[in-house]
Amino acid sequence: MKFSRLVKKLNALFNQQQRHQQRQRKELAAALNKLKHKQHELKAKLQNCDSELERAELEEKISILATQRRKGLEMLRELDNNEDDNL
Amino acid sequence: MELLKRMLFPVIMLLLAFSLWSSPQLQQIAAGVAIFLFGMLSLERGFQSFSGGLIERVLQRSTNTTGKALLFGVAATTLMQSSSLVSVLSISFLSAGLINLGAGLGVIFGANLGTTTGAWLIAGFGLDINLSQLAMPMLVFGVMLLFQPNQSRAGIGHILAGMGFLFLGIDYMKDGFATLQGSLDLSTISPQGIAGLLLFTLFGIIATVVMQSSHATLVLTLTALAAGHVQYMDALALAIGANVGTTVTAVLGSLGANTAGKRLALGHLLFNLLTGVVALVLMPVLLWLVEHLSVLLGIGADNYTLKLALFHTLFNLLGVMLMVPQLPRLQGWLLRLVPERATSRMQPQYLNQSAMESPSAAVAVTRSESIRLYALSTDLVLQGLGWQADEFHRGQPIALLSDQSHSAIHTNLQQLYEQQVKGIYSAIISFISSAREKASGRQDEQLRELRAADHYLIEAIKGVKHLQRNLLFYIHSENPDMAQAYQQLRQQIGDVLRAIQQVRQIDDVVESRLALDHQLLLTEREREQSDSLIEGLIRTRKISAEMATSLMTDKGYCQEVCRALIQAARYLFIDEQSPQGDTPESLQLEHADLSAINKQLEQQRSDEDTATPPPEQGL
Repeated sequence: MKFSRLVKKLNALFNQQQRHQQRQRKELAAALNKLKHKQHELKAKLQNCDSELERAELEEKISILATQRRKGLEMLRELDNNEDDNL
Repeated sequence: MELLKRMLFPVIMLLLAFSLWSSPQLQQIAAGVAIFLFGMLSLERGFQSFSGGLIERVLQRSTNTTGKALLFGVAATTLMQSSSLVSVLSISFLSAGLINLGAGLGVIFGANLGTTTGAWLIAGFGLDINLSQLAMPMLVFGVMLLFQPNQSRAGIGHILAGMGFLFLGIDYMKDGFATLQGSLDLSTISPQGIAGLLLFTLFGIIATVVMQSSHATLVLTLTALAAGHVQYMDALALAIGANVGTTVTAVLGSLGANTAGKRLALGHLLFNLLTGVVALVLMPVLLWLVEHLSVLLGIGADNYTLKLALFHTLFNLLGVMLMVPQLPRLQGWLLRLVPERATSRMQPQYLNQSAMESPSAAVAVTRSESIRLYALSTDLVLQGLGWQADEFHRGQPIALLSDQSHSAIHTNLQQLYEQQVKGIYSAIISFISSAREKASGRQDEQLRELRAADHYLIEAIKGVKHLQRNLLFYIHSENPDMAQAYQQLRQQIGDVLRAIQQVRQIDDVVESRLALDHQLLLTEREREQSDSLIEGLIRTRKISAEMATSLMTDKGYCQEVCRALIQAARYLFIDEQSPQGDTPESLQLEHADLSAINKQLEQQRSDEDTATPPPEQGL
């Protein structure tokens, strides 16, 4: 284990707020991963879709997922910055 | 009953006060019982602070077969040393529909077996070692942990302090009986033979009913037996009585339960009564068995406390062996004996006091009742929009729904709301307020979200009520643009309800959340498009300024109804196991996000339209 990670873990052990942030980060990362998979799945569907109506719906859903992922990544970056500041 | 209870309590208090005044030894025994009971309370509170977590998850998952349910009952009671807590939890879960009657009965049977471990522990170790020495550090660490703000640590503190008090209580009782040497001999007041057995069984029942704990009666019996104040045979009868008396807690717990909970409590009563009767009838056989097994297990001939523990185990085991094969028959009989009461459409169907015992059960019944409220509310919404709810729920395409808007104009939504929805809504809100006192963490968040969902449903009804008059009037307007605009508003709400209907069939959480977000995107687009549509209609003088203001206001109501329904569906139908707040807030789309997506999609589509397709390459 790297020294910085060890310090982070030790710090989190005594800091409730940091533990909360770490849990939040983990949940957010997991949610983003799920969204990424769903986005890939819908993109694959879109490539094989002929119906105009279904294509429109898939495009809309892909755009929603892209926006959500972008927002999530921004928040993830913010959480990382906060964690670094706490060290 | 209430009057009897009220009269009995002061009499018991007076008798107790007189006894304590007249005998210092009895004072010590009574103090031991009181400390022991306080320990039980602390222990129960400690385990309850973990409820909504491990215990309930295991209870829900490990009761799909009778064998597993039995094992759970044994393990949980061994761990918590309280069959009453396990029984009340089972009744609460059954009332919430989280487990079935068979599983509940299995847990209760297992809990009876589990109580026997307490007798073994006390008879085996508790009477030979100095328990107060063990109790002291437990009390010190327990109380230190109790002051911790963290709920889990405080829970562990309650458990430790509870165990400390249990040990201390047993020690007090032991000492009390030891100093009582010679001054009290119950055998002198006991009639011999069957009458004596029955009398001590009755004592056991009464003691357990008063102390609300068979465990306490058993400990008292064991300590009295060890000190020689009770004869062996009388102690056996007391143990049988304690087994029967313990059902009182479950029966009391079921008073606030629904039919399912009452059935389980009756099953519990029957099982323990039957076990008690069988133990009394087969007493000679059981005694013979105890003697032979004692020799095999190396229990000394004069070690009556361990023999009592063995007897307690044997007759409970016998009860389980007799009743388990009869479980289906017992279930059928209970179903017939306690039939389901028909509840009025206006009354809550799932909420019951017994579910309050466990936060998980409280969440489950609140969700079921809220889903019922959703059904009732959407029926009102559809009715208010001039559609037939039955047709809609059957899946009839919106365009083909028979139009009831002429008769719907006379539908008084306010009156229907008060008759059909308000009572249930109020009951849910009141239930949630009480349930949140016990709940914390995830369960508290889920209850808060369910309350929000119910509020959104009421907002949706209110929105339709505001919309109804103009909608049902203009939908038949001679002005085709107004008729079409209002038809569009109605269609929009119908689309949202249909989308929610489909979301309820989706298992994938990401997929269902995405479907609702997509519906939100479409709602936002409709809002933006209708703005420019109304402006166009005014500019071309196709509608009057008065019509335009009505349309703009009603468009707002329509938006509110759609958003409220989507939010309610988000809380009610997506991932029942965890609160929606657990999904990071940042991923929820705001107005600005939705608007940006719509603009980007519009741009993308217009680019695609203007772009000339590249010439196809020949093979």
